[in-house]
Amino acid sequence: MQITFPLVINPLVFAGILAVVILILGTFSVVFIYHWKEYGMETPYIKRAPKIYLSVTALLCTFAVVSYFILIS
Amino acid sequence: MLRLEADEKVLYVARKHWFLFATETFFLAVLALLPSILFFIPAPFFDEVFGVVAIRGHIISLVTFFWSLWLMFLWMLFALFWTNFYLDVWIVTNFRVIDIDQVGLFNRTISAFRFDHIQDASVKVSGLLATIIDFGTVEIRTASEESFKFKGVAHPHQLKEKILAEHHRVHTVA
Repeated sequence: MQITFPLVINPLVFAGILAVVILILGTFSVVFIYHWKEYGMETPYIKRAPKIYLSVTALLCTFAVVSYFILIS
Repeated sequence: MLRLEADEKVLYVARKHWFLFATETFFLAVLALLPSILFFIPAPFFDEVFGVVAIRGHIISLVTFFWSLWLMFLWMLFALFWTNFYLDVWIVTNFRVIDIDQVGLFNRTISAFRFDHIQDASVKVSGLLATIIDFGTVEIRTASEESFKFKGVAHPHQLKEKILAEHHRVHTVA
């Protein structure tokens, strides 16, 4: 049996996977930033860490969203 | 948040050696680049394997999508490793040594011992690499038979000297 393309690449399923991963990443981001602020003793590295972390996270999320739209288009 | 006592000053902060963190990061970098191998596999191979599910022509976009999710997962791991590396410290103050043991995100133990409780201090540096780039294990035994160990600490001899110098100062003043 030849499985047709829409059965394999269902945009809704991939959107669900993407949403779950972004949700987990978002939750962990909050936990990381809380840890750094609470226990980091305000060292220079800790002060810069959230900005760097969130920038890379935003970049990766954008990459994932763009690759999702390329996939379903 | 760590609270210091009145007139307590931080003299030295010891962390694990950066090399141990770099090793973990290198491992993550290898894992991040691993899926790129798929781009070098010849298209006929994919046609053979995925032909039956008719996703021919979508392989690159599928791989890119899952690669982006994989990168997000590895980025979380990197942040976790860095958190463990950076928040796992020994803080030597003029009153005591504070041992903060960070294992994962939700496992944090803070213990402290005063200099006048120290019975013995030892340093163990094993291996060529540890000797060359200077990392090892510092173990402090206290009067209450407790043992505090810091594995993989950078400049272990320096840490031990700092602790013993303060131990000596406390005994001299007393």
